[in-house]
Amino acid sequence: MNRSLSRREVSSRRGWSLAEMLVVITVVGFLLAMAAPNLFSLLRASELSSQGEVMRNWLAQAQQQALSTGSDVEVRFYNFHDVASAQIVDEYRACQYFQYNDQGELAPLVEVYRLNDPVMFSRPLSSLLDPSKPGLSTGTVDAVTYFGSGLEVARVAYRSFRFRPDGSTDLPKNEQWYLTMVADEGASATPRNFFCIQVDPYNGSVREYRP
Amino acid sequence: MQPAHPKAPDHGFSLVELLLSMTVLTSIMLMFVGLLDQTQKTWEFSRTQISQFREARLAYDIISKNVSQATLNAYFEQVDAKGKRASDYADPKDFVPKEFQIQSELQFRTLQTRDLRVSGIVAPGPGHALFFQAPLGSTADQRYGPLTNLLNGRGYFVALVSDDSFRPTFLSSMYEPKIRYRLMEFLPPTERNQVYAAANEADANGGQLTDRAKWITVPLGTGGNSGSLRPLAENIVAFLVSPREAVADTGRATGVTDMAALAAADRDSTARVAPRFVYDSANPADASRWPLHTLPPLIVITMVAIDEVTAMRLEERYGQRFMDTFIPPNWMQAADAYQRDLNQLIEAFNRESTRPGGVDVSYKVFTSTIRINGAKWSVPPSSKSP
Repeated sequence: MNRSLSRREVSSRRGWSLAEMLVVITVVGFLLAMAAPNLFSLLRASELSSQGEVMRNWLAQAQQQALSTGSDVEVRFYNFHDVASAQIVDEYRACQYFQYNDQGELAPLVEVYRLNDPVMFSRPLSSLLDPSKPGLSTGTVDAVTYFGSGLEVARVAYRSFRFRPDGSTDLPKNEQWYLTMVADEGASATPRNFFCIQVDPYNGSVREYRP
Repeated sequence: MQPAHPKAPDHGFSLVELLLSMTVLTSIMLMFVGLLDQTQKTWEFSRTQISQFREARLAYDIISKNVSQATLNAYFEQVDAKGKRASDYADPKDFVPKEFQIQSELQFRTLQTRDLRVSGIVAPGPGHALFFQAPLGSTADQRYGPLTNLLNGRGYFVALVSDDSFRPTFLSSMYEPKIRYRLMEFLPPTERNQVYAAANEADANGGQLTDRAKWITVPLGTGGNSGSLRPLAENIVAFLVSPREAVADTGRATGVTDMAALAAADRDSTARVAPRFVYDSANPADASRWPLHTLPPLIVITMVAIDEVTAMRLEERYGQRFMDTFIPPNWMQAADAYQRDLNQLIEAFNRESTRPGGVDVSYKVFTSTIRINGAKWSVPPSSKSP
């Protein structure tokens, strides 16, 4: 029995050489490196626009609630940090709206809505969150009641405004009121991508602006 | 003995095999991309439809809530044989009362937008304008907050408006202003309600706004920046208002169960109450069609909305005033052609969508009848007409 194989056949069964592997890995790595930044920015952009739309609809829903029930709806923006989620500085990261209940107390109508990383409110581009602009009420709420036991602070500060039963707001009318959401761009005054939501103080209509 | 593998594995794929497999792979991938693209388009379409629908519906809620509270606050006052009031005479002794008449200083008006003079807008939009007074209690000074029944003038119409004056300031340096057809809300605060101003004198002049309508013209004239005029919804390309009688209520169609007859009576009422879509509750010249100082029992409001993508493409193709392309001359001037004119616009949109190379127009028409709670239309107007 002749089981000897030719040289050629041996080499075809030997698999790849290290050099070949290195070349292939380099090429694949290079391609991935080329694609990754674009892919990440695409993901960030889609995350920003989806959370922006949720936020916009959320505000419109709060206004609709005031309209349809004929009673004030208070919208609150919470300012806190959460070490567990690697959010170490105080920022406005969540919101919730309230209405007076049968007992005449302001009671939450919805769960706290928290923005997900990397999307955040840009403080310099959000007049609604600007402490130098008077007109919004401020206060604090019990952290455990509203946020569960996750936060290590006892009370969470908020800024709030109200939608009136006719759909208008209690915001001062001589200012423009808006929130701008950005994804991972820090506090830049001119972000490349953003989702700006404007609340008209006169008729409460909610408008969006994006690049 | 033959080797375990003959020559076959040695020579790899032939060119033909390679081409064949590449073709198959490419066609499969093309199919997937096509499918993905289609899904993406459907998703985008339904998303914009939903958000557009939401904005328009919210605006619609606000309008119907406010207009249903419209009031004229009418009262009875003695008049003499010439129809003059005691206050019209310098010496009250000259006044000889004859009968009581309904009086009111307030107004309810509908008119064509082209008759409006508004500063701060690019152009009036297609359709009609609606103006009324209602106890809405919206004030400039927050301290009046508890006075929720203060009288306000309100109005609605479509106009071509730039967002320059109301968008957030930081955007101004980054982008050109966006000019769109917007549903505008006229909402001067109570402090600037001029409805009781002395110059609101009767002056019959068709649909033109005259001195009698100072409460409308003065705040509109001072423009969009003053806060008297705010955008309520974007990409509303037509706003139509048609005051009507409540046909069944007036007894005209009592006992009629025939829907076609009711519909005919309804059409009839449209043409009778405001044949040219013009209604002025305080105009004596119109008193043959409705009792002076009365509100119409019903108004039919129609809004035509498009989505932002459509608006963008139409602007690219036909310029800012793209609605001029779709609106035929004399559109919505005669109430008896209401349905025909509305269909004309819809057909024009559909033609554009099906035309090769045309813009795919995605639109939605909202129509509904709003009952005005304060209307006391007890006298059938026909009893007054010859």
